[in-house]
Amino acid sequence: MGANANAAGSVVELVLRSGPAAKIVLLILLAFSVVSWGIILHKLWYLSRVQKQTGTFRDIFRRSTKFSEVQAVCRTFEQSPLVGIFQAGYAELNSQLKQAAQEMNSPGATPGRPTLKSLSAVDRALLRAAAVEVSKLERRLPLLATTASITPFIGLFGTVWGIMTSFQGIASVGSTSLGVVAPGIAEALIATAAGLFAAIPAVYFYNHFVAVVKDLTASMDDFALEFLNIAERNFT
Amino acid sequence: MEAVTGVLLERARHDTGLPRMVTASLVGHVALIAVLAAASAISGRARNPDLRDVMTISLGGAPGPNAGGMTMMGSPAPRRVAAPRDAVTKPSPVVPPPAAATPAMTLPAPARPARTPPKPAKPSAGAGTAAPAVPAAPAAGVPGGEALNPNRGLGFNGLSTGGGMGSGSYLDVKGFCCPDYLVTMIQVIKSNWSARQQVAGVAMVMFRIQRDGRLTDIELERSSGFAALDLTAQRALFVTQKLPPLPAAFPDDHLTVHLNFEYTR
Repeated sequence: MGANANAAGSVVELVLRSGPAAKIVLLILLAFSVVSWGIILHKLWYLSRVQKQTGTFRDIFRRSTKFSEVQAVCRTFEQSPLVGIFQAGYAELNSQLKQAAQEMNSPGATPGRPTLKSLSAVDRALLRAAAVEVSKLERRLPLLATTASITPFIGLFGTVWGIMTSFQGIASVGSTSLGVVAPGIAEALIATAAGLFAAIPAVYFYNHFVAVVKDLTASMDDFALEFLNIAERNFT
Repeated sequence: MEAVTGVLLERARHDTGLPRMVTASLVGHVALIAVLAAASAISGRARNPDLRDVMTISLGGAPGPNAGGMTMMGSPAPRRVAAPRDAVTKPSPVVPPPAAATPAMTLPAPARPARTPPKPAKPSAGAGTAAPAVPAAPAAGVPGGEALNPNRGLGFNGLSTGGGMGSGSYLDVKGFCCPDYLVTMIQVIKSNWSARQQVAGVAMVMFRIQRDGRLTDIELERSSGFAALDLTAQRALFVTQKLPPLPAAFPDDHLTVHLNFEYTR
């Protein structure tokens, strides 16, 4: 612990001693890190809820016999993208059935079960809902990807700048002893370290979130097809 | 508006909690920085606050030139060291000639009383200034006459940064004015210490050199793991007791030194 604390202490000392360019670079990196961690925490919380609710909602959907029953529990599982797909499909289905019922009630119509006019309209409604849900799941992930790819470069810029100035310092002092060279380079390297510090979690969690979203997208496609099958079986 | 569009718009709106998480992230970052700063403050207080005025010097290993990647010290240093080194190698050839010359000088002296005095005065003055300057450092520094030469050769090699692992003494000085003083210091301490022990190890001892050259505040800083080695290292400093006064070019009233005693088997 002693050596650790000492290393950490010297890091803070280095930051305090560094020049204005290095400080600006470090501030930018800090802002990136704060925002990317904010997104990471939010997405972790949000996607875990989404996954939990999606599982439960799918079970309820498969166990229930009527769409109206499922529609009643939608409020409880608002976070799940399946709810969005279901609501869109249900709304399309309802409006078509309502129209069919009106036509049947009109004089001269043949009595019978109301049927769907167009199954592909329902399919399109499901596709639209899926697009909305995917974009909702992926919202702000690009910022994470940006953080992951540019913070190392920003850090590298700070380091190159710092080493440039420290070489200028060497030139003006006229000495190449390690005591003169090393502090400047150590200060400069802090920027690269900070860049990696911001980038590594962003890369990790970006990939993690993309995998989760891909998983959810697959289950959304599966659900849409299931919904379409049921609609076709019952209303055509 | 179409029913489906209404549903989709409603669904697209729901996205909350991000500002809260960004705030949490900000708090986390501030906390992390505070912890680092606190660790720095604690470790800074625990260790020497004036770490920049401090040198770490290693002592030990085989005498001889350090092979790997030596870096000479700052530009003023070589000039200062070169002068005493020349002076040291010469004393025996240089001193006799004036001694032999003086009888010869004494003879013509009465013949030309007016012009000659300046001439003998110059060589004698030259020898006079060279003589005190030379013995002052090396005579105090190296008691053993034969050990002097290899050690002198080592002198600047020892005062190099980098170099082979643990071979010879190395030195990391931050802006200390007078490397030749350190050469003297290392030689004096080495003469009171033996690197060859039954076990290998490194003991780090801290001490202060006061302006008049006294060694004070001798403390074991890092144990070698063997009490005998630690005691031998400290003993070398206690026996040394006094070094030449600090050079006038050094501004502070004392110099803190961290000395690594590297023992070989």
